[in-house]
Amino acid sequence: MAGVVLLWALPSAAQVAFGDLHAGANGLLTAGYAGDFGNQQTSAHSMTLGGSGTIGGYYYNPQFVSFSVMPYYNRSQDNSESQSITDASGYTGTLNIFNGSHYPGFVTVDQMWNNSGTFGIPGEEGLKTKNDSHGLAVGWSLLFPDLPALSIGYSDTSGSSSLLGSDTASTSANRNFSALSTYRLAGFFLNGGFIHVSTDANITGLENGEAETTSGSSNQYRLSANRSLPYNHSSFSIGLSRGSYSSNDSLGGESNGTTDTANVNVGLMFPKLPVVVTAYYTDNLFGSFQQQLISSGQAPVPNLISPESRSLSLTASTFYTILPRLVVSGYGERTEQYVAGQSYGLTRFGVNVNYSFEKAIKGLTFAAGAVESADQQGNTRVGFVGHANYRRSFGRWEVTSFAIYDQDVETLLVTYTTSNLNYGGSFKRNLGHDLHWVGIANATRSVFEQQAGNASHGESFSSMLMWRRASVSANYTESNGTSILTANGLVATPLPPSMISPGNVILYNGTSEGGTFKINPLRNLAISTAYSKAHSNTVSPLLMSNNGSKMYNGLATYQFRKVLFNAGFTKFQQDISSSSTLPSVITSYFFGVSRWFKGF
Amino acid sequence: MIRAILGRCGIACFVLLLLTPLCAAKKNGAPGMPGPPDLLLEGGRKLTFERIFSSEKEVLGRPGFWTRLLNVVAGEPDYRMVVRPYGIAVDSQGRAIITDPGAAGVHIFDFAHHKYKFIERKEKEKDAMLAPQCVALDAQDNIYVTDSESGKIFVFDANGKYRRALGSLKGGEGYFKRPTGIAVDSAAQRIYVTDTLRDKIYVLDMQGQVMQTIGKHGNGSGEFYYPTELHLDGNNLLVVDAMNFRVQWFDRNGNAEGAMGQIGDSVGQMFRPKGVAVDSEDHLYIVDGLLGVVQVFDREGHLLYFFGKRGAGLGEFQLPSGLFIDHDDRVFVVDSFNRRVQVFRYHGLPKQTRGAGQ
Repeated sequence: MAGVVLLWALPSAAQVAFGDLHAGANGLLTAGYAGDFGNQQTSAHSMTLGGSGTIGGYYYNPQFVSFSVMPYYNRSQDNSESQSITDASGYTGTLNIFNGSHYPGFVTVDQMWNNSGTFGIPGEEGLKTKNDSHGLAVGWSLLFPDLPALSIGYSDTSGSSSLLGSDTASTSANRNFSALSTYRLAGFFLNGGFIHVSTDANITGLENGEAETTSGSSNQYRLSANRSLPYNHSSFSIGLSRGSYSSNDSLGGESNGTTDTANVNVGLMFPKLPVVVTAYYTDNLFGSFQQQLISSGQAPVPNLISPESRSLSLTASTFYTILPRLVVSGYGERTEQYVAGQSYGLTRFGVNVNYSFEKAIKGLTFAAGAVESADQQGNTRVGFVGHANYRRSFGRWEVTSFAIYDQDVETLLVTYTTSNLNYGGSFKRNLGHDLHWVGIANATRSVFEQQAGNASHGESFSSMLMWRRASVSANYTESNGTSILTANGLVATPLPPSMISPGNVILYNGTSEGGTFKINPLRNLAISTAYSKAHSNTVSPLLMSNNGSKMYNGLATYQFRKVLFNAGFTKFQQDISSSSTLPSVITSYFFGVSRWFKGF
Repeated sequence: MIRAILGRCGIACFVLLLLTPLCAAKKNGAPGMPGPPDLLLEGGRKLTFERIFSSEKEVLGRPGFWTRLLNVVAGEPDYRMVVRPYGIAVDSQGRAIITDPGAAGVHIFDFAHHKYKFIERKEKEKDAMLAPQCVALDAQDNIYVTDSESGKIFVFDANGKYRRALGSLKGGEGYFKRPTGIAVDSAAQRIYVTDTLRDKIYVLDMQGQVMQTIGKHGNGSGEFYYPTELHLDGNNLLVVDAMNFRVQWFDRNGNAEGAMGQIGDSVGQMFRPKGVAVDSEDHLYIVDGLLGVVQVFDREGHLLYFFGKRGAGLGEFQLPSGLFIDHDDRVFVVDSFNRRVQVFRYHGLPKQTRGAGQ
């Protein structure tokens, strides 16, 4: 089969023309194999086969009518404990008309078919799923100079998924219509539009054989006007919008409402005291939230509270430059809200004072600054920051270094002082004959002052030697300190340890080292290898774990004419003492080949 | 299900369409297009169109069986094409050497031996070649290339191997502000280089030492306003004085001996004079970049004939630049914006009948 395909792929040149129709085509065929072996698992082998293509061209002139069609097909088969087959195909087609004129338009169509089957799951029969989707988008604009610009667009996307052999299936549809216009009139930049969104979803085969049907729609009308004021880049803008929404859930009931909003912005750029004032009003806080959900294709939430709600907020901010490097800024904010039969009011104001200076001497630049913040409840924080940079060349040496120190005193609820110091440097040495040597060192240290034994610090060192098409590098990193566990992993403690529950504070200590070697022995051949080793331990009142990992990695790619070969291996060893399992070792290999074709 | 089957069939049809060579389709700019008719001149002389070339592929000739098989399996190699060719020279072996600022290199097309070579130095730390502009050859076919961006002259041997850079100062910058035209006098061991922004021609020895300068800014005899291309013709050095819209000629000592040309956008006048060359009958060929023509004058400045017009067809030019006439009166015109070189042949009178024929 492959031979037949290759024979079809006789080389031919450039774009072809059929009368005024000009077209070109190209495609890519790929195939690959990957295998995994480990001491804690059985081996797994997978094969993939795929193809994609593009036919594009134009009629008469690219700015008159142009088109492109991009089909694809991918298939993969995995032979492991849970054997699986996935099969995906589809296409995207685009047609642009009158692109270079005052009335350009486009049509886009896409279609996808995805099937997958997973077998051999212990205790389960074969699991086969089918997901299809379809999309259509149409747009057209009127762009005549000195007349209002108008853009109209419509899109319709729908999808379905089903679990073969069961009653579980779902369909969804989303339709969007928009008409937007802009116009410049008497110095005003006017912007108006209408957007309609509707969504429908149907899920069958739920528990007890139930089905759920949801539908929702929203309309939004908006109008805004901006204008520059004839004084020192001052400006004024006003915006009005009305949105309505309705939703119906066969299990959750109905919901609908209307939201009106208005906002005004005025920026008066007085030479030393620029003032920015904004006002925002909405007559339906809950409705604006519902409308955001519907517009993004999500189901609205049920009305659990009284739907009547409104909000008005006014803010003003300014700053004043007392001296060239001494700036005072201030802000004030008043918010009034009525939600669920209750009225709320909030007034906030504050002042910041910022001072900085900067000096440069023969490659050495240093600067320092201070900031003082306060609000109606009193002083909130005092901060100091200073940094120095040095950059100089000595013969064939290029040297840079930096140091940044900042200290922050928080005084709002509890008084505590934090200080952070970052410093580092780098060098580059030209050793001649295309040989270069680079070294980089960085360190960071943070401390909650007056709280002994809570410092965190980290250091990293790296060096690289480069010679023509080859390079070798090594790196070492070390860090330790206190942290807390969050959804994003361990992060440095944001508050002094005494203010955090001792059970949440985790002591950590880790080192890592590694190296890489890369070489391009031939023009289209790239080989790289990497080694890394890491060791860390974490200690908390509930857990003590000693962790280690090692990884060897190799990758090679070679391009011969239109064929790209790539292959690689990874050996990964991991040991986590708290998991009470043996250290695991996984070795994986992969090989792939792809061939690019130019059809015509 | 039916939709899925239709979709698969569509994809299969697409793949077949994609891979089919479509031999019957017309290809833009294919060499098979009819060339311009012969230009018949007085006395039985004529100018004929010979060919165009633009790619490494055209040099290599018809591939053998194993090459074709390899092309089918792995695809054709990425043949190098001219990108923005500018200057041209043809050496004693008939190889066309073309500078290409767009590709930052020099192409060597050897049709006789079906060989191609590309010279580049853009990634070198020292003396990188950035925008090769004009090219000249010495008696050993060594290649001399002006680089208008780095301000240097690069010398390569006949095989394209780098030999040295002339005008390279200690700090790495170039001596010349914008070197463009170049000519080499092997007998006298002299190199002539135009520095367009200085309105001067530098006369160098073969090691790059400045021995003399010719001209200064102005529009008088022996003065220049943006001089560009050079051509050595017998004892004369021809200089395209671009913004004075003329061609001047000098003796080998730099004394102005004559000039021809006047500004204008009609035939017989000059608007953007570029390459200059002389055929075996001492006719002066001058390319005009904006008019898209090659005009042929006698030494008194009378227009004899012209060929070409603006366009993309064969025998038509868009921003033509370099020009070279070899010993067989083949006229090579670099058709810069069309990314190709067009070759014509001038069929003059035999030498023994030339006196009577003229």
